[in-house]
Amino acid sequence: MVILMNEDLNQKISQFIDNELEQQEALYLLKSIRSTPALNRQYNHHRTISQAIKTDAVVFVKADFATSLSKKLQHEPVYFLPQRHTIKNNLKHIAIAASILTVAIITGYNFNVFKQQSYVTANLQMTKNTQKNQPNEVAKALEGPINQKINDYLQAHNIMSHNNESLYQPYARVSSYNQK
Amino acid sequence: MSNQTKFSEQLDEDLVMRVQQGDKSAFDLLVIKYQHKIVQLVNRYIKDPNEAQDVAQESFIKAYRALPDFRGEAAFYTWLYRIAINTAKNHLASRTRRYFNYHVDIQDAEDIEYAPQLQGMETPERQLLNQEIVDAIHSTIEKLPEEMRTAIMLREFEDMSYEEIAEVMDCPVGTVRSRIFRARDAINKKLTPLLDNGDFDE
Repeated sequence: MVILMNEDLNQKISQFIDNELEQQEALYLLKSIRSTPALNRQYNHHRTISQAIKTDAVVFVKADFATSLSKKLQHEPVYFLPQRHTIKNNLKHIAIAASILTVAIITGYNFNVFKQQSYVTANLQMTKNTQKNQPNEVAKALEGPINQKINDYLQAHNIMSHNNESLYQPYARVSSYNQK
Repeated sequence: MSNQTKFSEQLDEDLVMRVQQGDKSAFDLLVIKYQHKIVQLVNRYIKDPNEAQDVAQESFIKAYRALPDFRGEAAFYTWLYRIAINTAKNHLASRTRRYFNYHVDIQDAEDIEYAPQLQGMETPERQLLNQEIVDAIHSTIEKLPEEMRTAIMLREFEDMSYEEIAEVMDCPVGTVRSRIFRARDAINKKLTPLLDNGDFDE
């Protein structure tokens, strides 16, 4: 079972060197390499061979390169930066905002059309009802010219002022009488 | 973007983000992933293997310190390579200055800059071992079965993806994956004694 697992991990190393391993598998493999010296040795060998085939130059890396570097980094600060907004994230946000805006515009437009239609329908209905229910005299009185009504009102008040003339005499006129 | 680049860059992006959000151990995984490439890159400037390892480590430390400023505009590995090249050049420049201060006349500057003693040299034993390894690799590849040899050569020399190799060899991707692995495994078994001799810890 262990042999099979190692064989499988060795094959994964080969795929990883060729960048043919998916992210999660690669992550798992790197963690295994870090914690298993035998796997780290295999990984080093495969890397060295691959580079030697390509360049005819053999470059060895110390087996403890990563662990000794990790020790050196122990005194370095740990970062807690706010989450980075990549271009991909920004595009996602813009797309969401655009979708919401589109939905809002369509909804608003539909609501206005509905409101206008309801208003027109209601007016038509009201006019029909008024014509049906109100007696002809009242309707006629209502239909009379507005200037006529104002004139009637003014005339009525004009009569009242003539009847009680002394009460409404301007002060200047009263003064001039007294002088005479 | 090919699948190869996509997988690799996605992994880098994920690991960098983890480091930036407090997971320091994620940087170890980036080191494991890139240590060989960085050592090899530095080795082009600094021939002494021990010194090259130190400069490569220094490059990773600089990268860790600069990581808060890394915004992902460029791929992580190009950013890391740039740091490594600058670190190696600075190391060479400082070594050259030290050499001038103690050993040579300033007029010899141009000759000295490219002199082998400044860049460091591998020992004759190391050179011999390296040549032995390269020869062994080539002879093992020659002896591989035809299909395994073609698969590994298309991968290593032509830098083809598994999918492209599958198309060329007219076989499933899984078969290509298996052939390449078996080829590597055969070379590894043949070379293990030599590679263990070359290891710094041996």
